[in-house]
Amino acid sequence: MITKSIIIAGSVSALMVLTAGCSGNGNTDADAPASVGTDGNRDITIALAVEPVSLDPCDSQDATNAQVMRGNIIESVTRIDPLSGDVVPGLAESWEALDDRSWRLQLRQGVTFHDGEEFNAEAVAAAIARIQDPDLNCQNFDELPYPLETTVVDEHTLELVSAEADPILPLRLSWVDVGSPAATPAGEKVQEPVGTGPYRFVERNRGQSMTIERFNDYWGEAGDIERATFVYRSEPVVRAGMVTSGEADIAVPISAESATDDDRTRQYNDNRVFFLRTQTDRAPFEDPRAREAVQLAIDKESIVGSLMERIGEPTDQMVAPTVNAYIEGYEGPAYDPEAAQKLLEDVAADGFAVDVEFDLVTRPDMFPGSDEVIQAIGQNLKDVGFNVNIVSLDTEAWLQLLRAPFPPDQKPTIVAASHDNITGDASFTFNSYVSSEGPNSTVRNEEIDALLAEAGTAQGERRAELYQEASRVLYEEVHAIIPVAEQSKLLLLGDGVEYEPNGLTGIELRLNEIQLN
Amino acid sequence: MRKFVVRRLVTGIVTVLGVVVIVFFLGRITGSPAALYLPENASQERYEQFNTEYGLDQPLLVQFLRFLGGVVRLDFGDSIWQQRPALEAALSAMPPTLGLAAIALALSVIVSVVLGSLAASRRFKSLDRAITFGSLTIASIPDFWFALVCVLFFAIYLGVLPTSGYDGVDAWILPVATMMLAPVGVMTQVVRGAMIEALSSGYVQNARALGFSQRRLVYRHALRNAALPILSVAGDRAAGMVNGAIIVSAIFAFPGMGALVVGAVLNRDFFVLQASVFVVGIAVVLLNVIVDLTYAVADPRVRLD
Amino acid sequence: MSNTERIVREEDGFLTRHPKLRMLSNSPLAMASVVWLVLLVLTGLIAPPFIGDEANRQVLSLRFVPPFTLDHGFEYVLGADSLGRPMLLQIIMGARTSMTVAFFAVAISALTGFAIGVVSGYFGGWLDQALMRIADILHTIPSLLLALAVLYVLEPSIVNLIGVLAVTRIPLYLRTSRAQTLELRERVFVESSRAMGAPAWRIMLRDIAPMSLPTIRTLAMLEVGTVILAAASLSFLGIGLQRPDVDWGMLVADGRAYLSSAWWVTVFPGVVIVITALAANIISNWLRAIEDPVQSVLFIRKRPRESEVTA
Repeated sequence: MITKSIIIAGSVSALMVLTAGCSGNGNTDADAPASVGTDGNRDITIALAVEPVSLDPCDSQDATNAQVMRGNIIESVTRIDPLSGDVVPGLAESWEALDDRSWRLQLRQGVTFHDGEEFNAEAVAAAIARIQDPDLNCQNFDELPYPLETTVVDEHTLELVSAEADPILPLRLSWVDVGSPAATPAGEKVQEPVGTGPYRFVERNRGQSMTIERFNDYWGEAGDIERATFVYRSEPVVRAGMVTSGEADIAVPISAESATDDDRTRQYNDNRVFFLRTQTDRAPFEDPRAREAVQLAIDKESIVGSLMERIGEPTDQMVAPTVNAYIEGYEGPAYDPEAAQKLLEDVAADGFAVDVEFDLVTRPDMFPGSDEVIQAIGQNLKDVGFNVNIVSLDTEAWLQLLRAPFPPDQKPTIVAASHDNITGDASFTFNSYVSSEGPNSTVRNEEIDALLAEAGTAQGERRAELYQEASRVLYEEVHAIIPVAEQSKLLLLGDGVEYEPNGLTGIELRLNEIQLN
Repeated sequence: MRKFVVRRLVTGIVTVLGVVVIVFFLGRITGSPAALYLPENASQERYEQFNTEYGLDQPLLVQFLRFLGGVVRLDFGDSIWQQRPALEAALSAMPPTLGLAAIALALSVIVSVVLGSLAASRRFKSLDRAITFGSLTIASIPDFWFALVCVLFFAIYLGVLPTSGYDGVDAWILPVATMMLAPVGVMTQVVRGAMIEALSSGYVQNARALGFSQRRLVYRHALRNAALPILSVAGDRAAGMVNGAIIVSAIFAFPGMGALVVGAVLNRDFFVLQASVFVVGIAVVLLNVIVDLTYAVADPRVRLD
Repeated sequence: MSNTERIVREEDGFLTRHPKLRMLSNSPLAMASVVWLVLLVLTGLIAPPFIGDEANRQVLSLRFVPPFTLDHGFEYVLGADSLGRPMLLQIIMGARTSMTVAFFAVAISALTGFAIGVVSGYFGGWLDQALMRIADILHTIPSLLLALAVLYVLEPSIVNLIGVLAVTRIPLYLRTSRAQTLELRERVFVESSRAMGAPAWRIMLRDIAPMSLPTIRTLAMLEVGTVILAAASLSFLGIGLQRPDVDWGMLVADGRAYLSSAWWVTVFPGVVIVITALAANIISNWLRAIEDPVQSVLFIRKRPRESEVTA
């Protein structure tokens, strides 16, 4: 009897294992290869934190999608040089402004898509149209805020007319990633991207991995890597462990805990700043002095110094030095808890409530160790007399609090955010967080709005000046955005792999730049 | 027998539907996930469009009725997060989890039967005490802590096992071990208790007096009686296996239901969540029916109603 | 008369008058477990008002102080966590939370499940069927899944955590007490109560409930360990409690990024969880064993005296 039961259980288990084995076999070819570089082995495995949500070229604004795709499978019309920050040719060789709203692009010739189709002006026009299609819900929609009219002049020449004057249009075109029109239909998103890049999409195992391999007809220089498999591991310790144990060749990002002191650990700055955003329309933050008190209460030097070792530097500005709104040499107020307390007392004396409870809202995955930083900040705020409650929410709930509108009956919040801007232009940050119309903005300041409007049509030096002026008003008068740290990231390289990360590594992990020993 | 099976299946399906309904309402309380899927500057019209596309703008009751209608046709909608039918996503996540659960459960039964019988036959001697203490300890270890420590030790420090993933037998070892903790801890005690009772019962005493060997007694008679509680406990643990799978998938990046469910909750993908719960529920119901049938086959005293 | 009862004589000592306590003193493991749990409860009750501030004080300069030295004071003997808070005090604060959650979750689920089970078993009929279906539903949802869904919607707080844990565990007690009620209600003494005209509630309260209480009690002890682990899992996944509420699971989760460099942040809370769950399991095991005449022989004396052996 019991034997019979065991036999039944045994055969059922065996059956299940077989089925499990059969359906999961998509990965058997992608087993972690032997040490890279040996026996001419040119396949690598890269461990990332999160799986891309969408593999459609028009969703490349999202870093998790972009990191795998951009520069590898798909390429953009223009590129940003990671070292100089200038806009450099991508799929467009050159461009000229015809007037303040029109541009003519000369596209590269002799480029083929992975499916054999010719790259031409129509492909670019199609890509732009897709991004701007409101029904498609592309992540890159925000990067082209003004409607663009495209005219195909000839196979390799395209004219663009923007509805509004837009001096930084070439910069915006770095967000136009071009997929083959034959494989990237206008009305729906694709699961398998077909682009012009040096690597073609091979296969994807949901929740597990994604594989790409070298495209032999690439127009540019080929890299060392033959084939790459991206795997996803949410635990930073596990990611780093995979490199140490040889299962992966690169782990990005890793936490400071797993960082080694040799050259296998590389640090890179992805132009990302961690800051807090207070509200401005409700207690206890109505009065700007209360907001200033928040700023004075936080001991940035200590907190960032102890808790963000190797991954952060204290900063007083909400953008990185590469962005044109960055004010050279600007220093914000130093840590001064007594002054903060005094300010709060003054505000209370004037009849405003400063002891109203508010939530300090964060996400657990903001950056490794962010929870502790928030706790330390919370402690600082408590010490000067604020009534703060720390709340850690998942991305969706956090987004709801980050985005406008802010219903009047909603509990007051300070939302912690980590925002990157690799374009060098402040419009990508300020229009969102500082303009009165911005979807993430609690700032309602006419002077800033006027400056931003003017900056939008300005170019070069003048543009930078205007953004810097707006920054000053923001930091010295409004106090609604409190910068904390300029972030860096770490990655771990395995033996036999050489890669120098740069400011764009977070959104573009170019396999072409990886060398094998 | 057939009547029994049919009746149990019907009750089971009613149960599963009840579960799915609960999950439906729980999910919808969080509101529309549009913020996650739409770009930052999306206008109000686009939010509304998103909601219309996924039917999220209808009153809750209407959504519910539509949902019920869909369930009858086994249509759980299209996943917002993965752009494919929700049921397909759920079904494709089952095999790894089933494999993991089946292996873990089967191994747990075998290990606990062996340990429990050993403990019972050497009752009150040091081996028994050791096994009892050991099994209680195993049952007290938090599975995520055990998994982390194992990864640290075996994978990172010693390097003999992979840290994560799904390929190859060695990637399954730590996940299976993690999932075996609670079942082995509990079932060893159950087996021991049942065996002790069986071994000290009247007819076994008689058999011993008649000169049957200890071994024969244990394997033929006592185990047979212990089979029932073991099966019952094993069946009970089926739903618990999904819990283990959630933890395992978080630490070992093991694919399957655990990862899918967590992902569905994080991405507010109601459709996948509902479909997953449905699929898991049906699997649990089927397993319980199988266990009950085995129970009936093993013990002629049990009547199937 | 069970073998634990005997006629009490004048010259009997304290332990002889209290046979259960004597059995306890004869089994060192169970004794140790009781001592540990009592210690935990006492510390959890008494200590927090005194150490609360100290436990939560962030001292960045003391970040990751290693354990086993007294350089920074007694409270740092188990090391410090990532914000310089003393592990020993954090664990004690966690004890209060974890024990509170475990106690209330088990108590609520046991009492509710027990009551519903008795009612359901006694009355039978459609009420019974309906309640059993609901119990099945609760039983079929994997508890972690239910908790995920619920705690993402509601705010994580001690009350909600207790609620979720209690609800998912009800079916266990419900089934057990129902099964026992079904059996008990056919017994002669219940029959006779009914014949004497006792109302249903009195029969359930006086006759049936006391008989099935011991099983429920043993079950509940066993569940304490399970609930502690379940609460820890929820905290690990990030949907349990949030600071400043501290529980052991959260401590383990917080420390997991530092496993290779500051192992004490994760290992010590984990060890405490194991010991506490183990203590609960040992006690429940012991309770079960002493009530089984066959197995309780062990606990009376190692070499049973003639007058006490029954089996």
